[in-house]
Order: sequence, then structure tokens, then C-alpha cells
Amino acid sequence: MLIRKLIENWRIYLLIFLTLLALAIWSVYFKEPDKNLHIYILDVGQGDAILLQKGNQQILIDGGPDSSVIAGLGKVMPVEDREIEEIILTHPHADHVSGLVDVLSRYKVNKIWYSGIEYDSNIYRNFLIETKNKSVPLLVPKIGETETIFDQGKITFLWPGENAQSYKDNLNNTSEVLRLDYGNFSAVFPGDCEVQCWQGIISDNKSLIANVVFLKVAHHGSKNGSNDENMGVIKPKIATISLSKDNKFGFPHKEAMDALQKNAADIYRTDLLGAIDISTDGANWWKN
Amino acid sequence: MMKKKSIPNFRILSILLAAFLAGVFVASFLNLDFYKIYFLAIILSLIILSIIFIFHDFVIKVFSAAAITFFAGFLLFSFVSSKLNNIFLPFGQGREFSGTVVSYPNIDGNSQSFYFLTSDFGPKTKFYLSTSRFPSYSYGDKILIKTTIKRPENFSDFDWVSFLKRYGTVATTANNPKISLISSGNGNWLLQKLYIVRRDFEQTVQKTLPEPESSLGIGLLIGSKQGFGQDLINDFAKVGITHIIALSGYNVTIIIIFLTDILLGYLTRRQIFAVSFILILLFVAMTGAASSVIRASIITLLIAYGKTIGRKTDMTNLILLSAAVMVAVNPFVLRFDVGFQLSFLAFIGLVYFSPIIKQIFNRRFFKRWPNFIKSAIIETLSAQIIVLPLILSSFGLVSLIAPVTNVLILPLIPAAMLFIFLSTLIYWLIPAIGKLAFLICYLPLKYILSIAQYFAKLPLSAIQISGHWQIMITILYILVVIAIFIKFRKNADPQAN
Repeated sequence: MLIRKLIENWRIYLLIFLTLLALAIWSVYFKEPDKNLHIYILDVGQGDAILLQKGNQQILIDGGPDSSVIAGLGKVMPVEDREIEEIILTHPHADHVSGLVDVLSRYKVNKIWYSGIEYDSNIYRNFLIETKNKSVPLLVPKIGETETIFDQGKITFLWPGENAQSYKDNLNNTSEVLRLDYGNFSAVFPGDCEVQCWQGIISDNKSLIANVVFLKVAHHGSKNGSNDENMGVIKPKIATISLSKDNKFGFPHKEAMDALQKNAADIYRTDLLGAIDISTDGANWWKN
Repeated sequence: MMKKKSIPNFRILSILLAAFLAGVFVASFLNLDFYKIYFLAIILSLIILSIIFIFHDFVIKVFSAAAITFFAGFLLFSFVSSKLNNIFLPFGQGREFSGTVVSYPNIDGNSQSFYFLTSDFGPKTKFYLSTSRFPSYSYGDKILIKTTIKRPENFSDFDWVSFLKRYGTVATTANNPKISLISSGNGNWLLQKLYIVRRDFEQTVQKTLPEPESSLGIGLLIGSKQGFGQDLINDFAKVGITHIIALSGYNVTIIIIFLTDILLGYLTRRQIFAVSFILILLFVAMTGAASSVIRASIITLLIAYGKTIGRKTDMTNLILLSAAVMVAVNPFVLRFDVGFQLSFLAFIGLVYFSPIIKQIFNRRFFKRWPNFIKSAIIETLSAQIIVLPLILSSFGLVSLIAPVTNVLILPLIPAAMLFIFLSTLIYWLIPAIGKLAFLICYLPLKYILSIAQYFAKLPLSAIQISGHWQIMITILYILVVIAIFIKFRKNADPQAN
């Protein structure tokens, strides 16, 4: 039979295997990396997962509602790269944290930024246990704290600082909000930030969110996340919304879409397009 | 005396086994209470037994014996089924009780499911439980469950009750039961170790390969669909290659042949048989004893055994015997396990139909074609042709492109399996090199996935047939296949493949 014939040649397979192994080792060392910064809005259904990637360096913002983030990462990360340099968990709701448990078990993660908030849920508890098992350091950023990333890029944390616990009545308002700068490119990732959170940022750091190039629309297009007030300040050139088709919340809300359309140039939605790839070389930006 | 010659000796066994299977099959429709019928059946059997002793006609003897095996099958199914139906549990009531996890938990999206045994309600009973994925439980965990005990109910398109009965289960819990872990390590020592190896293997592949390649890699080696997205499962069904990850037991066949070939220089045939027997037993246990895996193991081991004792095996008896063994162990598989049915039909196709298709490829036109392509086509077609009516009647989705995709994919499977196996070993010894070794596995896996995704997109890769057409076409098709078989089988030599 066919199988038998193929197996009779197992020594040849072994040889092919070793040859390919040598090839793989060399090709990993002589690879020309992509020099652009990519922002991948992964298609994880009703939830958030955003990958910032340059070459073989990654920062993952949130992990989506289930393990589908793994498939999303598999599509865009270099095959041989099993390391994600940094994870930022905006807040512990299941549609943001769930997939991170899988990420932690499959990828080497060097550190995690999070709000430090206490919240009792099965999945969040397991996320914290997993970080402990893998001894990944958990860091809570201060408002205004910055970090250099991808050599010429910078992240600035805008909200909620070390004070997240005081907003815990509405967990969405404890969302880590951050700004990314890369050359002339700028972006804001607000998690599920709602009215109270936006007001706080506008009163303290208005200039840091004003007129950015890219906005990940807050809270999947909820009217609590986007209104005329904050959109009038941000005025993004590109905006993306992560959400699933026919979600039970009725996202995106009409009010939010109106505010967005009035103030944003291009709006892309994962429920219509699947994963979205926004790229920049620091001078220009485009959607692939 | 003329009649005596019409049944060769080795056919007697075939008839007896077929009668046994028929008994189980018929009983599965009637679903009678064993305790009401067993007396009658035993008396009937005794009468038939006396017929065997009274009459001297050979044919009558054989058919009487067949009737007895028929009743044996009939009673067996009724017994197992009645035993399950008579389990008494406080259905619909909230209870707190303890149980031990007795299966390798299956993880699907954000949930995990497993079976557990409890003896808090009298004799040991098996429950099915589905809960959120975290915290994760393992085989051998003793857990305290607080929940409402429920009877399973059928889904709109799936006979869930029969499915669970096949696993010896008639009870399940309400959604989101409250579970707390009492202690770990209460299972069988060997199984616990095997499941740890399995988990290590799965985690190694998941850590080193991206999705969906890692799920495919795991699926190829141990036959599981875990981690496959619904899109991918649909694509695989459309292009007709689901069997490489789930149904065929192809992996076991490959492993046994590998073992035999590698060990042949060092051990005698008898020793190899013993070694592969033990290794396969462990492998079967590790993969959760799916029927496909057992079927392939039994058949391949029987063939290997036949070679060991130097006897040429009769394929019909081999198929029937392995089917009968499996059905005797679990009578529900015969009617309620599509995987069981598919894998046996595929094997029947390989044995009886491939000689017919081979005739076509013996013609001059195909003479120049490379042999491995020819045999890939012959094997794929002969399995597909026989399996098709079952697929038609149970899924309604028929892959038209299957012969092409299978020819493109099957030759790569043994290589991919070997690569993954070697890479895992290397990874366990030297992780840094192992990671790179897995990059090689990436190539064949990516190839298989690309083929599946590309061909699934083609407009006529598969057709969906439903309603009355489903039955009509199925019957018509079976008739045509039987006609072809009768017409051509005389020229074909079944032992030639």
C-alpha cells in the first residue's frame, strides 16, 4: 500500500528532515525583517485584541474573549517568533482578558502592564495565576509614565494611574489608556474607556489625545465610549472598531457612529472586514 | 454433499460474525427491555442448539449457529441498553456529591468537558459535565459538584442522548455547576502518566507552532479536532480530508508500519509484534480510545499477527472480527458512532473496491503515470466510493474535490507525522534546537492547510444535498455501486493490493 511504500523510505525522510533543519536554522539568522510598524486589529469576535509589531518585536493590547487571538497572532507573527515582548491588559473584563491565558501558555511574555485592579472573576483569577506560574512581572503604570518601544517609538500611559480602584464602580473606566508615538504617527488605545475616564484625560492631558492619526474606538463603538465631546478633541484620521456581527449589545451605537463620522476620516470595522492592518514607517501611514 | 462444499470453512466464521453484528443492529432499533426478553431468547437458543445436534445437514447447522450468534448480539445490546435505562438518579433535583474525573478533558473554546464517576447514588454511575475552561481539571481529579442532576436532551440536529449512551452515560449536570477540587491523582496510575505525556506533547506543539498549524499537528498525531476553528472544520469537510485528523485511524496504521520497519533489523517478527502490541495499547489509551483508533489498531495488529504466524489472512473475516470485537466491547458504536461506520466502510472500500479501480489504471493510457500517484488515486477513490453514501445520508455534504485533495495531501502525512514526532523528542531534550525543528514541521502543515483552504474556496468543491433527495440519491448510489461491484469483481483479485 501507499503508506507502506512511503514509510519504507523513512531513512530518506530523516535525511530530508535534517537538511531542512539546517536550512531553517540558517534562514532564521539571515532574515530580512519588515521595517514598518504594524498595528493589527485582530478579529477576535466581540472583544479587543490589538497587536503592535515591528520586525520580531510585539506588544499585545488585550487578548479578546477566547483563544481566537492565537489564530490571529499565528497569521501575522513571524513563524519562528514565539516571544511577545509585552502585554498590556486594559481592564479585566472577559472580552479583553480571556485570550491572554492562552497567549501566556503558548508564548514567552516578558512583562505585563495592567491597572492592578482587584476584580473577582474566574478568568481574571486564572490569568493572574498563570502570570505567577510563568513568573511574568506585572507592572502598574503611573499617569504620564513613558516607555521606549521599537527603538524609535514611545508609549505614554494616560489613565488611570495607580488609582484604578477608585473607579471600580464601572470597570470600563479603569481601562488603561495609552498613546503611541512613532515618528509622525500617533495613536490612542483607550480600551473600554467611558465618559468619566475621557473627562479625566481631557481635563489633565488633553494635548496628548488631540488630533491623533489613529484611534482604536473605545468600548466597541458604544455610545458611552464615543461622543461629540471626546471625538471633537481626538479627531482621528483613521479609526477602527472591534466588534462582532449581530452582537447582543447592539454595537456600534448610532450615537457613537455619528460622532465618529463627524470627526474621523476613515472608519474600519472588524465585523465587516475581519482583521485590520494599519502600517506606518513613521512618516506615512496606510491601511493594507 | 454438494451443499457442503458451497460454504468453505473460513466463510463459516464470516457468517457467524455477520449474524452477531446483525443481532446488535436489529436490537438497536427495537430497544427492548433485556429483563423481559432474555428468558425467551435463551429458550429459543436452546431449541436452535438442539437443532444443530439433531440435523446432519451442514447448511442447517451453520445457519442455526448463526441464529445463536444473532441472539447473542441481540441480547448483548438489549442488556447494555437496559442497564443504562434502569439507572436510578434523582433527576431534576439539586444535590452536592463527589466524583472522579475519568476522561481526558476536552477543551473547546471557553469550555471544557469530561466524564466523571460517582458512587454517591448507589452503584457507580458516569456523568457528563461541561463547564467553563478555568480552572482546568485533569484525569484522576476528585471533585465536589453542586448542581441539578439532569437527563441529556437531543439538539435539533444531533442525537445527543445516544451519543452519551455510547459512553455509558445517561446523566449530566446543569449549566455552570459549582465545582471544587478535593484531591488529585485518584485515577489509574498508568493512564495518569499517559495523559501527562499527552498534555506535554500538546503543550510542546502549541508552544512551538502558531495556530492553526499546531492544532493540525496535534490532530495528525493523536487524532483530535481540538483547537480547530469552525471555519477550518468546514473547509476540511468540504475538501474531504477530515479523516486525516479524526476518523480513519490512519495515524495508528502509520505508526505500526513505522515500528515494524524500524525494528525489523533488530528483533524477530514475534518480538516486533509483542512490542508494537504494547506500544499501540499505550497509544490507544493515551488518545482516549476513539473507535477509529481502536479499529485501525485491531486490524493492523491482526494483519501483523497473521504475518507472524505465517498465515494468509482473509480480509472479510478480519474486518468482521475487528468489528465484532469492538461491538462486543461497546454495542452502541455499531449504530451511533459515525466514526466507527466511516472507518469500516473506508476499509471495506480499500479491500474490495480498489482491485476494481486498479483495472482502470492498468490501461495503456495510465502506464506512464508514476506509481505513487496511481496508488494514491486508487486508494482514495476506493475508500471514497464506499464511504460516500454514509456521508450523503448523515451529513448531506459531498465533497467533489476529495479525490484531488487527498492525492495532494495523503503522501505528505507520514512525513509530517514523523517530523512532528522527532521534533517533539528533540524539543524535550534540547528546547532551543527543538524550536527550530518545529519550523520544518510548519512546512508540510502549512501545505496541507493551504490546499484545504484553497480548494474549499472553489465554487463546486462540495455540494449540499438535503431532504428527500438525500435518501433518493443515497439508495440510487448504493444500487449502482453494488452493480459495479458484481459486474467487475470477477476480473479482480482482492488479494492483489
